[in-house]
Amino acid sequence: MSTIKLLSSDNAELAVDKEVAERSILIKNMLEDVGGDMSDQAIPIPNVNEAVLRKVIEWCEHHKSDPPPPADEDSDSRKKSTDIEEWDQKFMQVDQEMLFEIILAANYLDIKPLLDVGCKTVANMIKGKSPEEIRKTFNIQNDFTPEEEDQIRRENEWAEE
Amino acid sequence: MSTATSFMPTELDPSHFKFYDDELDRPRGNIAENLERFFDGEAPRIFTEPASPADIGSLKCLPTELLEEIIYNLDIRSLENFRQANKHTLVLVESLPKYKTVFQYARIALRGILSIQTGAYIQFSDLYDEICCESCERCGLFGDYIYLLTFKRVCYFCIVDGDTYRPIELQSAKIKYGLTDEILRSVASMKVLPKADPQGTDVDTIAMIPRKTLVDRVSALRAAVLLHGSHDERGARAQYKRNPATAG
Repeated sequence: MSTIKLLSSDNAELAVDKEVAERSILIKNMLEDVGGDMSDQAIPIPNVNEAVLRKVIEWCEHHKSDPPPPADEDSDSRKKSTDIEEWDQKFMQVDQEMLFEIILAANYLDIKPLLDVGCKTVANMIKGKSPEEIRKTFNIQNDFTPEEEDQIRRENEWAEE
Repeated sequence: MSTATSFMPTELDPSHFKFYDDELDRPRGNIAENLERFFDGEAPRIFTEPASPADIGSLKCLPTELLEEIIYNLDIRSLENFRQANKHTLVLVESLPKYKTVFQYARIALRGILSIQTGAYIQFSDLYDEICCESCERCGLFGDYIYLLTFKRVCYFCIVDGDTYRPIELQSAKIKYGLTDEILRSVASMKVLPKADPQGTDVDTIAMIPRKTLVDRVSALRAAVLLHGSHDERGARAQYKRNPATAG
């Protein structure tokens, strides 16, 4: 099996199986474009640092034999937000900064399933929380006056006044 | 002259318009009144300028298209809470095309969901998909009603036919399907006023009446099948009799 090298933004070189790296559509297309093998040259990934790249590769390793996602994106295959595989849930138990970095890397590298898991994880961090708890979780400052807050709350409410 | 005046607005009392379908005979006059009040007397938003250092917090490092993806993954209740976090989340949510569509065309449904507290069971993207389709989930014909417990389109004939769209009381669901309180919390259910006539009672009193919980039959059955591994209701009952402690 051929190996390729990836170069992170902080100049760390990581060797990865070609098959694993090809979970990233960006890298896959890149390799197809150059046609030959890239074993002697590292592929620069300028937007992703080493720690995040290692995490992403770890995910790709675990999911390397997954069937390719169905072409029809918006079909029923889109699972509900609570349905995150157990392994993925554990994988996503990182601090918020890392989680966002993984999402951004998955977006840049075009790894749709990882991006989905990331977005669902963030959605689950919002779910079931009150506005105040959501503010706390994401460090959102409340800039409503009490009257405005009250008005916004009532807008979508049926008269329970 | 006298015939003309009889059509003047004073005569258009909502209580004159009773939508009685013989099968679903509920006092809906109240709801109609409620809606009318909202559509007429919507107060315009008057906001102070947002405080400049505020933003959407740590989420700001994500681009809008990803935030959009995250928001579409939320359930209605959480989406509503996120919308209320601050002015920036409010603007973010209300600028999303799918939210705009729902707000414009399905606002009554949105309010209905929040008011009977089924929001936690309905994912926003499912709600959007449902308002964009037209067929009844059971028979495939045009579905002109929406069953708010699971937010599915249904037609009149399917609603009145059988028990599927008649939610069951919490206690009955517990016994019938042999479910625990904990499991029942995750099963689609709605909060309603108990069988007192709310008409004529003032709103403050209504707000004080404890809500009763009704559970969606299909969701309860599904949970029961998961729990007992059998589609057979008798199996569920036997389990409950054998060990009521674990079954609830």
